[in-house]
Order: sequence, then structure tokens, then C-alpha cells
Amino acid sequence: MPSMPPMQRISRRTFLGGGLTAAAVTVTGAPLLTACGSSGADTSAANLAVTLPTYKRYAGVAPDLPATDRVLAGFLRYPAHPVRAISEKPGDGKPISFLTNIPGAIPPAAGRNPFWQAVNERLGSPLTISMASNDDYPKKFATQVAGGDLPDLVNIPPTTVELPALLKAKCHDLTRYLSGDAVAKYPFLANIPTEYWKGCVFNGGIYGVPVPRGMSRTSLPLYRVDLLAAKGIKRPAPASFAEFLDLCKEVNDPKRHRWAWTKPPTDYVRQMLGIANNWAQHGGKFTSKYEQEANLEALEATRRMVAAGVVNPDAFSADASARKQWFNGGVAVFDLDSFVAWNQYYATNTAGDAFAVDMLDVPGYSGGQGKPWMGAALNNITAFAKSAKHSVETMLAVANWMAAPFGTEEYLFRKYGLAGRHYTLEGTDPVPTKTGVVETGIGLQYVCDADMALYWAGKPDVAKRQHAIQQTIAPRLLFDDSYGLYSETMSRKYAQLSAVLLDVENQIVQGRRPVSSWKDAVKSFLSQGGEQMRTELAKAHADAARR
Amino acid sequence: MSRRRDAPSWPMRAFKGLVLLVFCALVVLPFVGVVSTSVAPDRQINEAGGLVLLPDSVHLDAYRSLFAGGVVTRALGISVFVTVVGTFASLTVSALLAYALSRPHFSARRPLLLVVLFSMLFSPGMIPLYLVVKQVGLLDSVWALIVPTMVSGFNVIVLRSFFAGLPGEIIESARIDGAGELRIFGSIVLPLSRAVLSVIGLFYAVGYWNAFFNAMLYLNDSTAWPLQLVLRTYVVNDTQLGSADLGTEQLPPQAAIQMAILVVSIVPILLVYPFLQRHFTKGVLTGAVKG
Repeated sequence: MPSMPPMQRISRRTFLGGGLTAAAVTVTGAPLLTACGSSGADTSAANLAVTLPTYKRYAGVAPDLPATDRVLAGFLRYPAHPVRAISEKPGDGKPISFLTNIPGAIPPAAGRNPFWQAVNERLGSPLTISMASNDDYPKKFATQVAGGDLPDLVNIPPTTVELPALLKAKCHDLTRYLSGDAVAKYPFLANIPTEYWKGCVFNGGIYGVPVPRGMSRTSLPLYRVDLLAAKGIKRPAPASFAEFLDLCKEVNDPKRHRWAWTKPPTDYVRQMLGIANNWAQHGGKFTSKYEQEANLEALEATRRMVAAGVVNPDAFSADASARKQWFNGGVAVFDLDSFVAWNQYYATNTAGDAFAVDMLDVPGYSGGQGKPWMGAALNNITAFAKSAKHSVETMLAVANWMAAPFGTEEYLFRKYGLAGRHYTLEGTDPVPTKTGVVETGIGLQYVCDADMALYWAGKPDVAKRQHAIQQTIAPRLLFDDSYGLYSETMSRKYAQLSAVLLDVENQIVQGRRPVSSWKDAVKSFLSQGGEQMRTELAKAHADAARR
Repeated sequence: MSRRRDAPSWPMRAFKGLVLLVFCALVVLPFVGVVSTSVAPDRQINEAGGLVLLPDSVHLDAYRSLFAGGVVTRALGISVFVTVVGTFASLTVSALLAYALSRPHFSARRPLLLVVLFSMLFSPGMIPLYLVVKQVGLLDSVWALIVPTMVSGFNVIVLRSFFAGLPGEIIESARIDGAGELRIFGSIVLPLSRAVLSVIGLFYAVGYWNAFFNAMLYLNDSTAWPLQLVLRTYVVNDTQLGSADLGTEQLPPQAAIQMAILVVSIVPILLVYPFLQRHFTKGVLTGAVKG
């Protein structure tokens, strides 16, 4: 029988106290988060007054393929002598608690996990991590907030409602530690581009450190180079939707259990038509990507693709992991996904050495150039609880350690673990072992992180291809104009209303509803919250403009 | 003549057999698919698009991955502990409560019954329950998986109905022979109630075995997580196993892992059924026909 965590003594008084607390909450319906009442203090004017941290690129590691403000740095191999960039242990000796989601399997606990133990040793403070799966995390987070049980470092889910009020009530304002040149004390936080810090500003202050993604999450059609080559197609570059559809038909082969697409690429067609990346702003007026007239054309085009049979017929019931299997197994040739997924496909490749992936550019719908969407800037922000028994400086030093970039010894350790146990060196490239994969997945990347580097161990071609497509699309990237502007309605309702529209979209492209029904769905979206979001975003933008 | 009328013709028998065969296949084939996919080679799973009915060869990589690192093994131990101890505790408390509620001379019977019925009609909700668990000091304790769900109002009512239907003469005669209430309960009532206790025990056991949500809320330390919650992170997380944002190396495909998880989580509770099957019909009918 496993050893059980100790049970605290329950007195009659504590038991009754618990019952009364629950009764109070049940009757009043008010969770005991009294300090989190919405104060309305999150004015964009105040937010704009914040001087964001001054960006200072870390010069200790020179990439093989240079970065720009949009294109990520590329490395053909891991530097032979990684720089040890931080000499002092950032921790203060006391345990630091962290609440986070984790994307994979549960790693072994600290007592049985040499990587976790090594992290504790290097931090100089034991790290206790409370984890939940991606799906369960928002519920766990909400319950712990309501119960007043925030850990020292909190991974804040992007969909959290009343976020400014929560941050103001429960978390440290980091402005005086990070604003402007003050960030220079933490060189790897200063190495995070200024754009990412916009998403950390609430209530007129900086309330967290960013976990940046941006370009690495930009999603375009990934394709199997090896499967196209077998059909005699090299470096496909369709110049319009019509050519793109022809390409799909050419590689489609249902008789051999192979389809062009894992799912209907509606968002790709939207990018061909120049539809907004989430929200577009012109002259202070915001327009949702859903309400633009060109959606009807995008839906009709995608419906034609489904009708032509170039999309796997199980696409509408399959989850993402099934679609990844189709791509890896050659059941599908194209998948609309990001640079992160590109690497993951190499991680899970079962097709042998010939397996190769590349990405399509976006043509204009009728010719010319399309407008690719920049990926969401942040994965999450991490805030520091006021209840933490550590100084803000200590917690920032820990975040700084977590943000040491590619090429440093700290990054090598954080992502790959201990040489010999968690990875083996092939040349200078670290190749993870199975143990390494399981033991290193403790969620450190959600405390803080450096920008992604374009790199795949042992395959310099991957970084070259990724860098090349990023250079091609960078000048045409379309940004989400709502980024950095807070809308309460959006945080409450956007995910729910978008899911309804996605359902309508799926029915339309399957031919179960006419394309014209999209207009009614959008009307409903606007009346149930979309208009309110538009108003709030416009107000936030106007406040910003006045500064 | 009458024999010919009673016995169905062979086409009818064949038809019935076919219908039963189809239903059996509908039940058995998904399970076969689950087991086959869990042991199928990764290339075959990818080529089949996720589900394999007949594996080309048998590979146990998924099970090895699952049990590597000791996380699943430990979680299995915790689940067994919670299920065994929880079921025993629930049965004890529920049977005692139900027996008290079934005794006509018990003065607090009516208000207590109302409390039980109230708990069936109104749920406290997630956050109040969390606050109770926190206030009584059960957070991060494995007992948080047992104590808050120890008594089910429905099961108490079923047990009470059964106890109330026991012949009063037997209990009276035991009392005349000098037996106290506990003696009557232990020596007379419980032995007569094996069928209903088996079924209610099964309900509780399945409930404890399948529970994951309370563990997710109440246990921050993942070393105390039960099997279902650990397995849920493999199945529900829509990402490849073990891949952090930068991706890592080749692993058994997600489908094989997911199916191995299903096998691991189904088999233990499946093994309990044959031992309780003979009590099942009688026990289930108890609540249905007696008020």
C-alpha cells in the first residue's frame, strides 16, 4: 500500500466551521473572494502610462540564422560550449510553490525525479509544483482562487474572468521592478521583446511575466515533403485558391487511404482572403474576423474542398492527436498547424529517415499574396502572489533563470535535463532519452520562457526551412489588433461564442447548412456579446489613443 | 401440434441468433479494438488512422511507457486503497444509518430521513465543497477522496427499504432472546442482506474507482493522485505524450497509450463483477419494488 500524506486532526469545531462556511457560500452564492470585486480600475489610459521593460537582446549566444523583430533565431546545431549565464542561485532557500497546467503525462514526483531534484539544487529553493491537465486547469485555478489558496507563482489562464480585479487583489504589482531600464537587473527578462510585455499590463501596472509564443504559434499548412516528392511535386507554391485546390486534388488518393487534409483549412482560406486575425481596428472601430463579408467566400471555398473529397471524412469527429497520427502515418498530406507542431512531428515521426515537413506560404485568393496571421503573443502570464513568503526580487530572479535563452547552459539543462540520463550528445546536439522526456515535463516552461529558437537536434535542414518560410511571410503578417486591450465581455464569453460559430462553420462546410446561414450566426454572436466586446475594445483603444 | 407451436422454427432461431450475435459484436468489438490497439505496432496504428482490430504483431511499449517512472503504479495503489477502504467505510456508515432509519421506534427517524433526502435533492456545488474540505483540514490528504463522498443518499434509501422489509418477527425474537440492537444488526440483519450489500458495495466501489474530479481539486501533490486522474491527463490532454513546447523524441503513439490506459483502468473493476453477479438481480430489484 502506498504511503499516504498525513491527515490533519479534525476537531468538532473545525468540522462545524467548514459546514458553516459552505452553508454561507451556498446560501449567498458568493465565493469568499471578497477582495476581488471588480473595481473597474483597468483603464487602458492607466495601462498605457506604464513604461514597458526596455528590450535588450542577449548577445552571449550568436545564432546561425539571425532573428529580426518577427523572425525567430535559428541554430543548425547546439553550441559546443554553452555559456553558463547565471552564476548565483536565484532562490532564497525556502520552498517556492507553483500552480500550472502541464501538456503531457504526469512526471515522477520530486523524490523520484533526478531532474526535478537538480532543478531544486540549481534554483537554491525546492520547487513544489501543483499540476493539472490542460483541460482541468481552469477549474482547478478558479477553485483555488475562490478558496484563497494561491501558490507563490501562478500560471494565469488567458480566459480568466475579471482578471484585472483578481491580479490587483491577489498579486504583486511588478512595475517598479521591471518598468523601463529597471528590468536590466534581470537580463533574460530584458531579453523578452517589448511586444510580449503588453499582455502583462493591467490596472496601470505590470502584473506578471510573459511566457512568449508569437511567431512560433503562427499556423500555416504543414505538408509532408516526402509524400509530395513521391508524386513528383517539389516546393509547391500555389498562386491562388484554384491552384491550391488543384494541388489538393492531385495528392488526394482515398482509394489508398490517403487524403490531402487532416481537417478543413477554413482559416487558411480566410488568410488568402485577407480576413482579420481575430479583431481588426480601423479608425478606432473594431471588426471581428467573423463578421467580414469575405467569410461567405471562405466558407463556400472550404465547402467545395470538402465536397471534392480532399478532407479526411473523419475530420469532424477526430481530435488533434488523431489528426497528428494521420499526418505522421501518411493518411493525410497537409495539416494546418504551427512551428511548434512542426517540431513535434519530427519528435513522433514513425515514417523513417525520409520523413520531412515544410510549410506553404499564403497566396491571395485570386492571385497575388495572402495575409498570414501572426500567432497569439502569449501562452500565459505568470503572476506572483502577495501571500508568497518570498521577496519579489527572488521570484523575479527565478523567472529570469527560467527565461535564459537557447545556447546557454541553463536552457540546455531546463529543456533537456542531465547529460547521460536525460539526453545523449550526438556531436554537440542533445538527443533526449525516453527517461528525459518523462522526467523533464514538469511545466517549467510556464513559469517564464525565452522566445522559441528554430532548431531540431541532428537536422539542420529543419531550422533552415523554418527560417526561410518565416522570412518570406514576416513582412505580410497580420496582427490581432485586440492584443493588449482588455475587454471584460471578451474574457467571459469569447471562447463560448466562438465555439458556437465553429459548430455552424463545420455544418456549413459539410453541406448541412447553406452558406447564407453564417450571417444569422454572426448576428447572434454580435447580439450575445460581440457588440459589447467591440464597444469595450473601442473604448480601450480610444483611451490609449488619448495618451 | 403444441410442441410445434412452442418451438420456434429454425429460420426464426437463426434470426434470433444473428441478432444476438450482432449485439454481442457491438459490445465485444470495441473492447477488442481497445486491447488490440494498445499492443499494435505504431506504424500500423498511424496507417489505420487510430484504431486497429487485428495487430500485425504484439508490442508492449505502451504498457512499458505507462508503468515507467512509477507514477501509474503508485496511482494504482492509491486507487485500490481508496476503493477498498472507501467502499468498506461507505457500506458501514450507510448500513448503520439505513438500519436506524428503518426502525419504527427510532424517534429521530423522520428528521434524519429528511436530511438524507435533502442531500439527494440539493448539491452543495464545487466551491462550497472545496471550502469545507479545506476548513476540516483534508486538503492534500488522500482522505479527501473518501470522506466527502462517503454517504450516498440514494444508497441509504435503497438499504433502508430492504431493512424495512425484513420480517419483524425475526428481529423481535432476537430481542426476546436478549440481543441488543448492534447484535441484532450484526448477527441477523447483515447476514440476511448480503445481496443488497453486494450491489450497494459495487455502486460505491465503482464510484470510488472512477472518481477523478475531487482528486484534481483537493490534491495538489500529484504523488497522491488516483489512477483515473493520472490516466485522464494522458487521454484528455490533446497533445503528444511528454512533449513540452519544443517537442522531443519518438514515443509510442498516443492512441496506443490511450488504449493501454483504458485497459488498465477497466480490468480491475471488471474483475469484481463475476463475484457479485449472483446477487445483482435480487439486490437491484430491492429498491424497485419496495417503498
